[in-house]
Amino acid sequence: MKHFSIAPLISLTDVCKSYRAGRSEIAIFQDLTLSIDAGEFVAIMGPSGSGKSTLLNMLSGIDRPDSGRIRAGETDLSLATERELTRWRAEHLGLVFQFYNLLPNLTAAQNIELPLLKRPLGRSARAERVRVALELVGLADRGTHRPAMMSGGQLQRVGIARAIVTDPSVLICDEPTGDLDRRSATEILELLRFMQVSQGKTIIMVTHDPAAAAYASRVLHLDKGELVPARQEMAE
Amino acid sequence: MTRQTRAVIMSNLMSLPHRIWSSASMIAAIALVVFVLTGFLAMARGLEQSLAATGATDVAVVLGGGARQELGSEIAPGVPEALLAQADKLEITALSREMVMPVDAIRQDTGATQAISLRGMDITGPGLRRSATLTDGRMFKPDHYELVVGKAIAATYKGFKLGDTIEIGRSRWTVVGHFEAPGTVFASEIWAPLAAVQTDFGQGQLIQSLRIGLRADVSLRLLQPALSEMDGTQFLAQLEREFYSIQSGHTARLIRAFAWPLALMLAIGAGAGALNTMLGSVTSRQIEIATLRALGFSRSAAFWGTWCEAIFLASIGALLGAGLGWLVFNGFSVATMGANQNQFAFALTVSPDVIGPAVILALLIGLVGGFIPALIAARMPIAAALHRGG
Repeated sequence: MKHFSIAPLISLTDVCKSYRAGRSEIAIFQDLTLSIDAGEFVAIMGPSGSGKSTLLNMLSGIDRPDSGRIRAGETDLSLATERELTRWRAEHLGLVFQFYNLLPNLTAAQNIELPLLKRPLGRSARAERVRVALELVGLADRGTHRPAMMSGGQLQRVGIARAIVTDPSVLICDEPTGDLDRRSATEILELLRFMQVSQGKTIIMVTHDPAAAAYASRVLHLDKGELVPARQEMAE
Repeated sequence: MTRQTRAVIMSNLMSLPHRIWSSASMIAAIALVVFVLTGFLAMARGLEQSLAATGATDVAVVLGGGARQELGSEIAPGVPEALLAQADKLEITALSREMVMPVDAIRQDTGATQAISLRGMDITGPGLRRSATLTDGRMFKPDHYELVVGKAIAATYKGFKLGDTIEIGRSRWTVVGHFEAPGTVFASEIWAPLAAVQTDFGQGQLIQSLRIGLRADVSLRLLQPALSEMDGTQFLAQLEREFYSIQSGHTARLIRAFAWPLALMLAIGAGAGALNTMLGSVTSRQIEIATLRALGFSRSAAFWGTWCEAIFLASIGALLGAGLGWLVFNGFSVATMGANQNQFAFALTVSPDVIGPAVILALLIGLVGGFIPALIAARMPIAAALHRGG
């Protein structure tokens, strides 16, 4: 597995996003501008409804801004077609979900292998990558286990292994410790920091937990769709 | 098919036990369609096969009086002699004058009275039916009131055991032989000397049909002009196989004309069930689908994964329906009214050309019922689906 890939610089410029609720339109972001450097570990915090998930979805290319631009490296996500976004996610992105989102009928190794299926890799090459990913997350002996046989912390490790198995430049984590006890959460956060420091990954993590956010090199506070200084957000 | 698509299909199929009841209902509905259609088509096919097996290609059936079946047909008395006088020229190897009378027989099981065919024929008649073999006793003697009975008839109706005497018409008849003619119309007949039948039923010299053995099927071309030169009546000469296949064609078409609308109505119901099942499947898997799409799986993988699941379930339904249909219907003996208004027994035949259309219909149900859910899976908004899951 390569340790350093050419990381994209993610930038949002004057991004506007609103949702329609019945006849009214609810604005989430108005002219949001933000940039994330390669190799950064960025935590995004904010109260419910502040736009964290929407921001994460737009950064993942699974949602689009109404206006403004989102660039990731050479790719303009706001102009990309659905097919281009799909390919971009497969090539550059690793996704970690709060509830792991593992396929229950597949083993840990099979779940981890899923993102590799789009790559021109043979069976043995894929198996080798899965083995390395399992080792990196400390689950070398759990490849044949199904999700139902694993603890929350182990499930999230599998989720992280699935996210890193393609050696993406960016990991996007949606409350990765939100469903874990303190000890498991600490292990996962250590693992993410390890990915940043030793693997050179750019990590963008949404969290409600200040202790989790403390692992990040930068913390962004969102409130009502705007980036606010930390103290103002905390006072809400 | 891409590895992604295969992975989605495998994952979907492996998750089927979680949706066992909705999947089972879809399979059952499709199996019912296939079962019902198989039954009807097997009936049509069995009828066709039975009548086709009955007919030889070197035996001609001649009807007179413009009739298309033996009842209503009449051959003038001089015609057989005139034909036999030219036997060499017309390449005739044998000739049997025949008439068929419906007679009542009592079923052994229910005691019900049903009409069966008593065929009066010359002594050459049995020899013109190569599919028939005498299994017990002997052949009837000319001018005697003797019967040779199809084994199926002897097994079904009272009074036809070897040595039995039975009153038919105005006389008592003795059963002197049993014959077998598997899978043919002849198996449902009773044979007797022509003269005895004519006398017993007061039919004078009535001849309804001629069975004429020909040297080859092309000999019919010699027979037809010879018949058209004879006076008095309009003759219809057909090869025996053609004669029976025309008869079977009408009934088989009728069965199919009834079977297909019924099957299509059932198929619409099964299609609605399949649509509902697959929509449920997509709903229950929306997080999986959205997750895979978020991981970079293509829309087409999501589409094919769902569509193949529908086709897979439809295939199981098709196999189940066809298997049950084969077990229940294949070889199942039924009786219908033959061309001479008499009982005629034949076995249902579940052949590949019966199962084929039923299985294709089942797969179409899967294809149509799974298409919209597959589109929904492919076009599912990823963010919204993940949000609902979260």
